[in-house]
This record gives sequence, C-alpha cells and structure tokens, in this order.
Amino acid sequence: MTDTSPLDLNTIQALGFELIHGLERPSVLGQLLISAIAIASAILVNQKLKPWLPKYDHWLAPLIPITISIMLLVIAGFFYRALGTKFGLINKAAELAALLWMINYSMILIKHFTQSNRVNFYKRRLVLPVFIAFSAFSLTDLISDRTQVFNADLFRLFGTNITIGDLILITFGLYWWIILSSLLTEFLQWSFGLGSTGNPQSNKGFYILIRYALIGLGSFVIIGYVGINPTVFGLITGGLSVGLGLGLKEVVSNFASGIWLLIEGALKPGDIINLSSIDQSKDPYEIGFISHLGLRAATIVSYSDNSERIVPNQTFFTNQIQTYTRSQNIIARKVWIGVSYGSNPIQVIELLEQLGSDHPRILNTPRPKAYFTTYGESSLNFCLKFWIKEISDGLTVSSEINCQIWELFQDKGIEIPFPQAVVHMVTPDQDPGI
Amino acid sequence: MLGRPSQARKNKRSLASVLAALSALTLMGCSPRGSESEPIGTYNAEINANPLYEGRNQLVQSQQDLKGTLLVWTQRYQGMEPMLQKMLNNSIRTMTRSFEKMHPEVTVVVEEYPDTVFYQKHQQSLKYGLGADVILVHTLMLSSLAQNNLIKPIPSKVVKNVNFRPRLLAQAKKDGQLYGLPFMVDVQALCYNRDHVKSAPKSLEELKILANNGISTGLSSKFLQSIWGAPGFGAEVFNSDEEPSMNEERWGQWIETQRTLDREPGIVLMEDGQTMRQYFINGELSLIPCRSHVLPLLREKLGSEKLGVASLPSINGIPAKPEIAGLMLALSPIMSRRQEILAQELLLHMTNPDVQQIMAIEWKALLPVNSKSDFNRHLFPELKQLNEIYENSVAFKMHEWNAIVRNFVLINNSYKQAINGEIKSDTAIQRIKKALKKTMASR
Repeated sequence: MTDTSPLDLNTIQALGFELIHGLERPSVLGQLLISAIAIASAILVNQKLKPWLPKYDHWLAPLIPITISIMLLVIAGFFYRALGTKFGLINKAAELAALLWMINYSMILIKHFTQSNRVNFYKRRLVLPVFIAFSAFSLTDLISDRTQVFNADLFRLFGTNITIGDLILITFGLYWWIILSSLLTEFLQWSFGLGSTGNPQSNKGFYILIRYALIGLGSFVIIGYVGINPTVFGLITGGLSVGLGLGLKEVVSNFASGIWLLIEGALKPGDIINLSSIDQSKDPYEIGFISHLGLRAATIVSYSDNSERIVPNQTFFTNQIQTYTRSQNIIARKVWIGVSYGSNPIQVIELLEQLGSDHPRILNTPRPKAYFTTYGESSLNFCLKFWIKEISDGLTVSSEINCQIWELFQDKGIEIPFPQAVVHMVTPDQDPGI
Repeated sequence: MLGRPSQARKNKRSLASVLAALSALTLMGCSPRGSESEPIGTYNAEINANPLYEGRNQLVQSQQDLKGTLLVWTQRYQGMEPMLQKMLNNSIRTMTRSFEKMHPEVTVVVEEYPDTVFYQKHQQSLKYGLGADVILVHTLMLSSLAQNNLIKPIPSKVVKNVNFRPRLLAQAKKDGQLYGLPFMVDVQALCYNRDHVKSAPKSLEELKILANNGISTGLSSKFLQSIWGAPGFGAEVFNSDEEPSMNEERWGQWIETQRTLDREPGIVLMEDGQTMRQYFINGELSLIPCRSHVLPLLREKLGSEKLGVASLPSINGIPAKPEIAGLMLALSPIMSRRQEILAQELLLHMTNPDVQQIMAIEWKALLPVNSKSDFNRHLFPELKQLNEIYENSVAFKMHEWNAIVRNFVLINNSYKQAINGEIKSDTAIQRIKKALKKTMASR
C-alpha cells in the first residue's frame, strides 16, 4: 500500500523544451504565423459575409469560416512550396481544418436526418473534444515521439507505474466512454425503438440499465488496461466501505434505489405521479411526470407550472408513491352536479351519461357512469364518473364537461340550484321569557 | 450584487495566473539534468575531480556564453543487445550532461527512436521545419541523407581536421564537404575463448589447423562481414579511383576458400551474427569474427579473462582488411542561427579527445575518433590491438557506401547464392559489380 513514488515530470518538461526549441526556428514561427493569419482572416471575412447570408446562416454558419480557412491555408501552402520553404505545418493546419469541416458537415447532415436536439450535445461533449485531443496528439507527435510521451512513467501507485497515457485514459478516456455509452444507448433506442408491444417506459428503463452496464464495463476495462492491482483495489474498497457507510450512505442508497427502481420497473422515465406523494404540502391533485431517472435522483416536471423537482431516488424507495402509469395508462375523473328537487333524477342520469359518451376525450370503455349520490340541503346531488387516457388532461376535460352540463341543463330546463337558507330573526318582544 | 460576478472572475483569473506561473516554475525548476544517474567511470571521475579541468570549464563558459535548447536524436537498434544499447545511451547522456555543465544555460534534450522509423521520422519532421538539430547516424547512411538534403555540411572552419583520424573524416566527405563528424568507430576483430585457444591464429592456415584439432570456429557468410579475406587473393570492392573493381577470378578464389572452410568439420559459416555470438558465449564456438562494439557484452558474458581479441587471420601472407564503419554526428539542415552554433559546439564537445577517451575507457572496446589520443593504456588493454586492426581496415567513402546500401539486398543474395553453390561465383560477382557501377554512374 505504501508503494508509491513522487511525480516524475521529466517527460512533460522535455516536451516543453522541445516545443520551445521548435518555436525558436524561423521556419516554424513563419508557418504558425501564416496559419494564425489565415484563421483570423477567415473569421473576419465570415463576420463581414454574415449579413449577406441570413437565409442559409443556420446551415452555413459553422462551415463558412472553416472553408475560408482551408482555402487560405492551401493558397499559403502553394506559396510556400513555390518559395521552396518548409510548409508541413501549414499543410497540417489545413488537414485539421478539413477534418473539422467534415465533422461539422456530418453533424449538420445527422441533425437534418434525425431531427434530434441531442446531436449538438454530442458534438459539444464528444466529437469536438475528440477532435481537439486528436489535434493535440498529432501536434505532440510532430514535436516529439507520441509513443514515448504517453508511455513515460508519471508516478508509481500501489506497485503500478502510471504513465501519462494511463492518466489520460483514466480521466478523459472515462469521461468519453460515459458520453459514448449514452450515445450507444440512444443509438440502440433509435434503431430498435421502444418496442411495439409491452410498456415503452419499461423499455426506456432497460436502455438506462444498458447504459450503466456499459459504463461499468468500460470502467473495469480501463482499470484493467492501466493494470491497477485488483487486490489493492479490493483492499481500498474494503477500507473505504466504513467511510462509505457513514459519509456516503445517502449517495450509495440513492444509487442503489435508482438501480432497483429500474430493475423492478416500479418507476420509469415518463411515469406520471401524484406530487403530494413526495411532498405532503402539495395540492393532493397536483401531478407531474418523471423526465429523467438518474443515478442519484429523478427529475419530475410538474404539470401545473412546468417546474422541475430533483427528487433523490431513495424517496421513491421508502415512500408510498401514487402513480397513474404503473400498469395502465387510464385514469378516472369525477364531476359533481346538483339539480333542484323538482328535477327527474332518471332523466338527469341519462343526460349526464350521454354527455360523457359524446365527449371525444372520454373513453367509451369503461363507459361513463352517472350516480345519484345524495339528497342535499337544497339539491339532488349527482356524480358523473368517466375515464380518460391522457392523465394530464383531467382538469381540462372536467372543465369542458361542467360547461356542457350547464348548457344542456339550460336547454332542458333543469335548474341548477344554489344553496338557500331561511333565517328566522328572533326579537326580545316576541320572547316573553326575557 | 452586480459586482460579484466580476469579482469572482477576477479571482478565477488570479488563481489561473498563479497556477500557470507555478507550472512554468515547476517546468523550469525541475531540470532533467539531475534526474538521471551518470555512470561515472574511473577516468571520468578523475577528470571531473581535477580542479584545473573545472577551471577550464569556467573559462569556456565565460567566453562563449551559450544558451538555448538543443535536440539530439539517437537510435534504438532492434538487433542490438539491451546492455550495449544502454551503454550507448549512457555514453551519449554523459556527454550531453558534461556539455550542459560547461554551458549552464544550455539544455540538451536527447530523444531515442527505433532504427526502423528513425530516418522516416527525421524526414517527416523536416517537412514541418521541426526535428532534431543533431542526429546520430550510421556511416553507411550518411550519403543517402546528404543526397536527399536531410543533413547539412559542417562548416569547414568549425572542424580542425588534424584532430580526427583522417580515414574516418574521409568517410564523411563528399565533393569537398564534410557531412558528419565521427563519433564511434567499429572495427572487425577475431574474438576467441582463451580457455579453448591459447593464442589466436595468425593466418588462415593456422585457423584450419586449430579447427582440425577440435577448436570450433564460426565465420560469417555475409558479404560485408567477409570482405576482410578478399585482399588475401588480391581482391577488392573499389579501387583507388573509387570505382567498383571486383575481379571475378580473385573474388571467386575467396568465395571458393570460404566454401572449402565451410566443409571443414570444425568450421561453420553462419549468416546470423547474433546467433554466432550466442554460440560463442555458450562455449560452443571458440573463435568468431566480432565487431568491437560488442566486446563489452562478450566480456560480461564470458568473463574478461577468458575473452581474447586479435586481428582476423592473414591470408597468403596479406593481413586481413575488414571494413570500418561506426556512428557519425550530423547536423539538421533546418536550424535557427543559435541552434546551429549550439549544435556545432556539441559536435566538437562529443568528439573532443577528453570526452572520446572517457567513452573508450568505459566501453574498453571503442577506439577514440581522434588522431591523437593519449591515455592510460592499462585502462583499455585492447587499444593497441584495435588500433592495429583499424590501420589495416578498409574505409569506404560516402558514395561507395551509398552504392553498397542501394544494392544491399542484391549483393547479399548473390553472395549468399555463390557461397551456397547455387550460382557460379563469377555470375554473383558480375551481378554485384554491375549493380555497383550502375549506381555510381547515376550519382
């Protein structure tokens, strides 16, 4: 466990010296200057051209400066060649610019065909960082030996020599793998869809599990590739288990809950739940849907105000949750109405049931059903129970039904009474006892 | 509230500046010079401990006031034993470190590339204007590099010709221009196991007698490794006019002699030098031709008291004339003025008698490249022997090497076929001569 060594920066330092050494050469400086001027000019020209191309801006915006850069760099390259001087760096800059152009063009095409907003996310988080890393590796190889640099030992940790390459793999490699796992999962989802049968939300949960499995597998592969001793790894994990038990209890608990929820399928992304289940202070009828189920927490979007709540997974595991989409996606709603004592209850029931059946957003199966519930103080009270598919439409449909009842009863001459009270005023003159 | 973000940004910038400054300080402060242990031999230590020598360093330093970074590329030879590769690397590091000591404001970065990609990498780097200032190359590659403008001539005013062995310098000269400075000389000797052989055979006849008496002997069947015996029959590769002059009859005699030797029960002709060395180390072969640079390995494996080094046997009363080759220091054609001055200074430093003597003694196998080198012979007992071999050796010129290198496969195959009796020796020699002539005519 004590087999560690101090940081060895000799290789990085030598790389720095080689960079400075290269920059000292006039031919290198000249090429870098020309490349910088070409790129700056391209940006400038692009800004000048922008007002002239508003129609195609969203298509051409990322491509115009790169295209101009490539053209200027190629011209500079020919000029340098004609002069008989070295132009490899200008060529390299043009090559990298061409690669960037192709990346941007591919992204535009992918976005056009998939119509997915995630394309930009992956471009920003995965493709461009990979391009930058590739450029950095290429330039490192120009000034030094890439293999030697990445294989150079940085320090010794638990009997394993950690090289610069290992460190990059553990940090950036792992980061890219996490993003790539997400992309792979989304690609699978896009290719195979959410299944024509069964519950699409369950399938979504299945894809999330695939993603976590890929991340876990990648992490093990990276650790195995670096060669960290698994015994030491086990010892550290064992040693940290006490710390985990105390300090990170909640995090681990939330993570375990998230995995369990996905396996069990009790709660999935897209599920609609009653928010009062997780927050007692809320309106008992306020509902929301789970937009994202992550490792630690779920994101719930409220239908009432579109606000988002980040709820730790453990909450769903320990509390009783009211969900409307566990095994079926229909919900019952009730509308109450009172009519005057002079009305025919049979007619009222028939009218209400007919009204429910005629509404396009009310399901015919189960059929809408009206009930004569109570003899009220000033009215005969009825209830219309109906089923809808879109849970979030409950309030809207109820409102529409109420309006239609009012119109229908007006037409049929059925009175909807308001509560009436007869107040008898007792005066002292009338009471001989006082 | 409005001021907070800008304050936070300022703090971030300050933090970033401090981190950048710390990183720069770390880079500047953690010099790689002290990070590697130098193998300081007795002689090296003696010189370094001499206060007069230190004084001279100070004088040189104050006079020249050199500063900057210098990049040196060396090769990792695939066929070389790790011990020898390590010794070569250490010698180069020792030299560059002593150069850095003399010029404290100079940093020499030494980088090692596999010999399979070395020249390709050098060529590629030059296209970008990058690459090493000084490259360490084999003598036989000098001509190709010069032809393709991958190295530049060393200014004549920089080098004092009298300081170097003339034939070594001649190997690096073309059209009056000097393209490399000799760094390491490698001669071909006869290595023998003293436990099996009391004294080395002086002639081929003696060698045959020894072989008949049960002393197992290995000889190389490769063209370059067997050139040494050709002069015994009056044969040569190039004449004094530096033109291919391979006489079919004379070469045929040497080839026939080799075939006869191969039929002797105690002599074996082998193509692979490494295998032959391994048999010698294992004691299965008692006599083999060996290059001087492998002596430390043989000494290490066999024991210095067992290893004997002598000249290759004479034939028909004519001493053996093996070829000499080695490593040369060459300059990159693309350098800044400052880098050029530094590179020239480093070349002179690595080839100066003091530094060369340190390397010679540490290896106890390499001749200094200098014409005059006077040091304690007890530290390098084989020096006299190797000097004798050197004097008798053949030193190909740059264009001669170029002709050989360009026809390497054809020469080796034809020669091998002739030795094996697959084709007539006349045919093989004609083929080789024709190819050499064609290449030399086209230059």
